[in-house]
Amino acid sequence: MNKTPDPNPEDEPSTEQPQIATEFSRNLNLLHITMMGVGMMIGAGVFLGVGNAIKIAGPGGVILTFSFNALIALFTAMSYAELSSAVPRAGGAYNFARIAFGRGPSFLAGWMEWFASSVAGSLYAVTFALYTVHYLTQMGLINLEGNELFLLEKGVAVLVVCLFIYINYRGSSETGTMGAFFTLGQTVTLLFIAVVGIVVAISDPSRLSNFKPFIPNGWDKLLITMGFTYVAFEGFEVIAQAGDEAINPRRNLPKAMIYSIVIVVFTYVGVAFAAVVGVKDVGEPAWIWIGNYGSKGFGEAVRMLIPSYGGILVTITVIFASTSALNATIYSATRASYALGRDRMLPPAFSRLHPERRTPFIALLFTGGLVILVAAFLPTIDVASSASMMFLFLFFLVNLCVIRIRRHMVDEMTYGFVMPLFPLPPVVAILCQAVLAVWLFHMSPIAWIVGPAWVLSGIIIYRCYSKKRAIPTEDEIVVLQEEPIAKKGAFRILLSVANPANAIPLAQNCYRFCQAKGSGTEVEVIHMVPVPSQVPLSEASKYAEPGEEAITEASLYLAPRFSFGSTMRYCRNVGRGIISAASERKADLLIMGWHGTGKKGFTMGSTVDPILEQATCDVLMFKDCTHQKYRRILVPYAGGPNSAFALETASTMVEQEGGKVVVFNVAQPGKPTQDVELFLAETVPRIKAPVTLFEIKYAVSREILGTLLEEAQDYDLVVIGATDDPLFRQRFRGSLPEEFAGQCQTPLVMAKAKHPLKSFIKRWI
Amino acid sequence: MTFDIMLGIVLTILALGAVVILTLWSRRIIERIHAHRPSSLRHIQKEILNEQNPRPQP
Repeated sequence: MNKTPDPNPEDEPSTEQPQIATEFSRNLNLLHITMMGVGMMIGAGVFLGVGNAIKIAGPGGVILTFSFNALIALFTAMSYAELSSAVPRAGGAYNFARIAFGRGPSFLAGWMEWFASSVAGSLYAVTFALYTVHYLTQMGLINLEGNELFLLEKGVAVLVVCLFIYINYRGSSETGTMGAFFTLGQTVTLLFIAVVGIVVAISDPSRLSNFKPFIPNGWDKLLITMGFTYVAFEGFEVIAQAGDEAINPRRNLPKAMIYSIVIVVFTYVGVAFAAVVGVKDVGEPAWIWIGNYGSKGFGEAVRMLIPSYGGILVTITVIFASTSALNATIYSATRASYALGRDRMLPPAFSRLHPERRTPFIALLFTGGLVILVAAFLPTIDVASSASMMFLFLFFLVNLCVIRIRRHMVDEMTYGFVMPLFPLPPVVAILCQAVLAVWLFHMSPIAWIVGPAWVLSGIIIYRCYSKKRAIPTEDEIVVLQEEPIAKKGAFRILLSVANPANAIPLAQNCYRFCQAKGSGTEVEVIHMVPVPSQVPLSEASKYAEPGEEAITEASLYLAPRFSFGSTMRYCRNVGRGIISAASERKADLLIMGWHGTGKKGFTMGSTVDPILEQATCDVLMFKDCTHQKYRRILVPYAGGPNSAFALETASTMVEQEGGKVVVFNVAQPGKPTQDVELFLAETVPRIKAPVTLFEIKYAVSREILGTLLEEAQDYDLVVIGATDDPLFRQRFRGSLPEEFAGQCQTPLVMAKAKHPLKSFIKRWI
Repeated sequence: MTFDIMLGIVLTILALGAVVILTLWSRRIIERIHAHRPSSLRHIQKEILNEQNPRPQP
């Protein structure tokens, strides 16, 4: 499975002896990873959060808060689940961002993930220490005050962190078993409290009157309580980190993420209900009584619900909850830094695995140090708010990743789960999380200082260290050689050449557009080296020879006349590489060839289909266009969105002296024909072509495709606008322009104009 | 029972119901994908479409 690669052999001394690769052991089953997620979610936040949420939003508001938050969290969990099933590796959001957006954003994702989890861990350690010391004081075993008490609490926090560092060092099986044990303990206890609450409500229905008024302070207060309790749903992130250690990860990771949300939401709603109905005869409304206790409100309510042992039950549950969350956060933070080390974003020592335990002990050591440092010396509550903010940033990024990866890598990833209702869940999650992040500012302004400061430090480290050392992953597009044009001129054409045979005809056709666009036009020739999946990228240069020849051929034709540049890159998917280059180079027009046949399951081919759908510039696809002169050009017209661009293309390619462009419309019997005159009247002045160049021709036929194919035989060239239907619809319902292009025996150009708004969005997503 | 309580109960049921339905739906998708084997999105979508519109048996 995931062997540690050795990407920079020149950096390390070569040895004759083969190195033994160390890898994680797959010990974590569905129960282990589900409980890890549940453990991190329940944490200690819910115990502190219930009282405060009731105070702000009222008795009904707290239940609505958890229900709505669960729905939003489930949307993000589905994004995590889909991506984890496709990329089941330690690193979580870091891996997703690496594939979707490249090195820089992925480093920041991993950097934030590491910090957020570590600081959340320190919060749980401190919570554990507070409750343990409080319990021991209540038992009369210790009697300390002031600084001595403070030092004891800090000491206990450091000790418990050390204990869980050791447990994580022992190995993932111990980690998973311990985590599952603690989480089961806390979940069973909380469910017991919920059941007691329901039984009490059934036996004494008058307690339901505690829900009056349901939302005493107004519905808008829900946003505040949702903001600060949302962190109680962020446990699915730790499940994504278990990709290297989970049994059957493509199946178990998505299941665990979804299940953990369901377990947690019903637990939260149950205990919140129990807390409200637990209060009786206090002389004031129950929600005010609970709210007055603030963070301790939940404990006091349970103490009243179960008078004999409610207090000790809550104390034990908090200890269970904080330790299981601490365990999960140390595990998660360690894997985040391990992934950064594995890809050389951080020093490679971070990726070193213990030869016997097979745990990333160096990453664990640094993570433990960070957790101890924060737990011992920093004001944890505000820094934990920063961690929550970074979790929100992370989730925001992951939701963007799932949209981008689906758009760009639809045929490259192997999915164990695809979310229903796409793209609704990630879009709704992005919008809701943006609102919650804003509300977090109202709760803790310091979070908006600490968070960006950590991000800034990450940017500096990336610029100074990681950028130069990061190793390319299998999914990246890598530049082999490049002679870029320094500054973008008035119009840039990207000419994609596949081999020496198609380079000259494409260069000739490109020449016409360069001339038409004027002296400010520049041409950049690109060749994507297709590297088969079974060949390592380090061997890619062996496949570069045809590309070098093709670029040379094109440069001989174009370089003397126009501003010229060239680039050669390799990647696993040629289509994605060309789309990426067009966007990166800010090309205005992409010219490429098409051999005329598509693979089974594709409309025009695995390379052409995504380019036509996703390119951020105008696209012209040339099929068999080897003629020097085109005297008669046919432009089929059916009112489609790319017809004007097709007409402009035809007017550029036709012989200006004696040439004709025939605009042809075929209507079915009984149906109205398109108004070609109006189309020409609107379009011709805009493209600045002489009116005499164009002719109009109509036909009526039941068989539109056959009529078009028959008509095309009498012309030197056909220029047809592509459809704007999404690829998925084209594949299953068919598309006339694409079918025509496949069957047409005459040289053909397919034209697709960019849509300004869509292109802007595509550039970023 | 006041309007707030009724609305609150309805919204809670809707939110929790949506969580349960999406969970069951997701679980079904996972089982369906793994009944064959994990594959590309295009193949998964095609298989789902084929299951929804099965070809008539000869």
